Amino acid sequence: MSNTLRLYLTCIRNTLDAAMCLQNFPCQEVERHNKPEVELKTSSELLLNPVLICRNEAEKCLIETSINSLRISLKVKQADELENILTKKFLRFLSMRAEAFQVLRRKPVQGYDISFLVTNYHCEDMQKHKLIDFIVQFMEDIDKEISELKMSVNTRGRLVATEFLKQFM
Amino acid sequence: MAAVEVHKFAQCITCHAWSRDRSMLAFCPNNNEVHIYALLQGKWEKLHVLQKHDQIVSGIDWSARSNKIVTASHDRNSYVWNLEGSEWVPTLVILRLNRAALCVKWSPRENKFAVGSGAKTVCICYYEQENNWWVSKLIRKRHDSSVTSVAWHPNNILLATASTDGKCRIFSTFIKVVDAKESRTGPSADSKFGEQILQLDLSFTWSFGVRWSPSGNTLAYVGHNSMIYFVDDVGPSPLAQNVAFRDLPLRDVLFLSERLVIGVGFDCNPMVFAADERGIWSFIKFLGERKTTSSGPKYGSQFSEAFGKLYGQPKQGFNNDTNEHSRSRGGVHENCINCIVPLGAPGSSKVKRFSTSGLDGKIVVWDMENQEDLAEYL
Amino acid sequence: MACLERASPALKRILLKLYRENKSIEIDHHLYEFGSVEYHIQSSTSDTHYTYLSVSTPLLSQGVILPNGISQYTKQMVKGICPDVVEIMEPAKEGYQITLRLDLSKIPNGKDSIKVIADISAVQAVILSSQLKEMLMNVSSQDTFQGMYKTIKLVYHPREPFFIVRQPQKILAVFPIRFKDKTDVIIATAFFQELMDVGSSEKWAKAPPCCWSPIPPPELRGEPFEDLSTNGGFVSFDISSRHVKGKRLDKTVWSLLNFYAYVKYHVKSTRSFIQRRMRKRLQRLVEVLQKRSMQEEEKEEEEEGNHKVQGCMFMRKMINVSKPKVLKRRYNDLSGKIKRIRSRIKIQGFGRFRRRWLKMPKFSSSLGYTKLD
Repeated sequence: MSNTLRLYLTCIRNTLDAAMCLQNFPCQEVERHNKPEVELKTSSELLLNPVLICRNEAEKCLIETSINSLRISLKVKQADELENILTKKFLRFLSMRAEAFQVLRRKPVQGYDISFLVTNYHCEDMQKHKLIDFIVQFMEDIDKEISELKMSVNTRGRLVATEFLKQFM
Repeated sequence: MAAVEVHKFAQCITCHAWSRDRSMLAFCPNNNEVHIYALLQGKWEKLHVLQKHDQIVSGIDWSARSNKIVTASHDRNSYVWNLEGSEWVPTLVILRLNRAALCVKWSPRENKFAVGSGAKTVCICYYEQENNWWVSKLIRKRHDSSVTSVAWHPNNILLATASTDGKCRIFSTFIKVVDAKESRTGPSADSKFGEQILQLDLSFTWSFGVRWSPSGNTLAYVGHNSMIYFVDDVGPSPLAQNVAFRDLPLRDVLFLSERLVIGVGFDCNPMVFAADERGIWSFIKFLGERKTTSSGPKYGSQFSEAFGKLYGQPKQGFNNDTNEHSRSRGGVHENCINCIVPLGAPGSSKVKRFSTSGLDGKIVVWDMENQEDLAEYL
Repeated sequence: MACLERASPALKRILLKLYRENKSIEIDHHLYEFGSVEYHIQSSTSDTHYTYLSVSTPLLSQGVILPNGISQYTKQMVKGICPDVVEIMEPAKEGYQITLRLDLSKIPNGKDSIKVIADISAVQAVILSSQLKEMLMNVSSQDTFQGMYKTIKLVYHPREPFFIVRQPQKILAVFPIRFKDKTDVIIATAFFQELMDVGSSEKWAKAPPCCWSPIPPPELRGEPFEDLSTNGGFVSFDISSRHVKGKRLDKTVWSLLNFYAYVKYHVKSTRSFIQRRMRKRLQRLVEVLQKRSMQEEEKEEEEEGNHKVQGCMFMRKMINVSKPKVLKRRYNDLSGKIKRIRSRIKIQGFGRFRRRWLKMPKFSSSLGYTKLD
């Protein structure tokens, strides 16, 4: 793994460690409600300053924290158009099964490819460091997954092209 | 080892309280119930389940003298529970709140209790003999956000509050029918109910966990920016000290003596703060032993592996992974500690024991007896 | 690749059946393929000799000039499939371009029979390729016009025209590529790049060199604007004389005619390949989840015996919530509501009264619920 990626991921890991200090906090605006404040954004004092970690222009990570919830949004590297559509498709595919992944947000935050929403309930339910490991590993492997997918699409194209040219022989 | 007892009663505990003789323990297992356990023949057994609230119980306090339990819940209500025969009988307290109740504390004389709320108000409740009724008086103004913690000054009048607007405030809670004239001393001598004595604006972000020292001379509260604030000479010209530490923020604090404070929070390990001879506060150490399991992150493994680690194992399980990526906390508690309660021996003013509970569902009793390095502060 | 098979599979099956049954069945079938090709096959027991096959197909046209039916050359080619068996009827059936009278009894027995039937089934392909062949031949006889070589626009599918440019040494075939979906464009573009890569390697030196570019090649200068605006660029093949000699001509013509279909088929199957792969990946991840939830369930059942730990009710068990649990949870909700109705405020002495008049369940069971009788 390249050095810059290591630094990038370490930075995200440490930021998440500090940011993932969540607690059960009922809604101040609506009676008997308990909703992720980072989504509602109704009480500005319950939100912390968002942190933006950039590896380069194309790859960045936005971490928005509130008192009871945390939103992590990723922009994944897309070197060409094929990577771009593969990333979009793959992430959309995952998002459609978001309920199975619990921390995955159904729709990414605008300007990002995928978002996670971690609430205090997740922190009660799962071990925090495993949650962070999962997210960081997810980021690391999404790249790998996309390039593997891209490679196999290209391999297919090559085979099909070969078949086509065979007809002229 | 400072931890002398470790009990795991539930998946997750929001708050807990002890009876005066420490033979009974009440806690909320992160739902709408309060469970009461008792020590019977050396074993903790569940005796009662108090079910009256319909949302999560956020605060429990057990009065030592009158043996009453007060509970507060996100359902906006409070109940005072009284043991009649073998049953706990609830009395609803009309808090007149339209948002969740977040914390509750009996006053030192146990004739009042305070409830902090998400409605940006504090309720002071007292018992009206004639009506057989708990009356709630509200301190409506001043708070700009939820009240996360309340602490009674030993004089039974002053109440300190911490709020998510970042401020710590001190109010007078003088109620004519309850507080006799002679109890009025000090700076609160001629203050009316709900009057703000002091507003401390030290934290940039949410403040939690406020406590008075046993004498009432020092006030401590924590900020979410990994700071703890100590305030002496509460009055017109207070003296404040900010102590920053490099670990995750605290949720609650407890004075063991005038010079020793225990802070608990997201670092899952109680932190010891102490004041030197000049009264300068500083971080001393972590109370629990900490295994240094943090090793260099292992890269290149498959997505499924992290996925399996997150989802594939029973949650809250003990950590056997030797090669953890992130720092696992490795202390007695495995998740955020959000409640700390003193366990003073009856008849002694010294507090050498306390208990903590957290999101990992454990209740841990700590003993400071054998901490030689801290003995001078106790 | 199914779409590149010359013989129509359905037609082939019917003919085979007819052949095997020795024409003793009554058949009157209309077949439609690719939306625009229509076959009508007729066979009756009264006429034991012949089977009639009528074909309607869009014809390859040169832009606006519509050809007047099928040319003589094409008819000859069709006839040439198997002169013993196939005879062209004049005039063709109403609504069809050509009607063939087939004498299936003349098909030689043995292994050859299947080949002959396959050849007959490929009649549409023959019509199509012979049209292109004819055009190519006509082009060669035409003179150059003002030093420029004439560009022919060929339309088979109205929305997919392509161009043939005759040059002294070679024929240039240019395909403007258009797709409705952006994803298709990208997959196709990736394919063209592979095609160029493969074509330029030494092993394929004999294949026609191909080239993809986002802008139209200079040879197409002067063509109408709508033909030159694409979202997928242009693919061109340099067909040299070697590719149109003898037997190769047929293959080349067929490949060119089917280039669009070939690309489309590749795009479609690549899309489903991506989908399939993603689904598999997800499946594996979900399996991990389910394994965990099963473990959890077991663990919980053990715990329930000793002391019931409800835990956090909001987030757990998002998958596989068993029915009794749902009911139980609903019951808890209900009992919660009843409790709320029951006593908001405590009134001394009211308890006795209430117990007598309102038969309500008493909620002191440690399990959190009691059974309603």
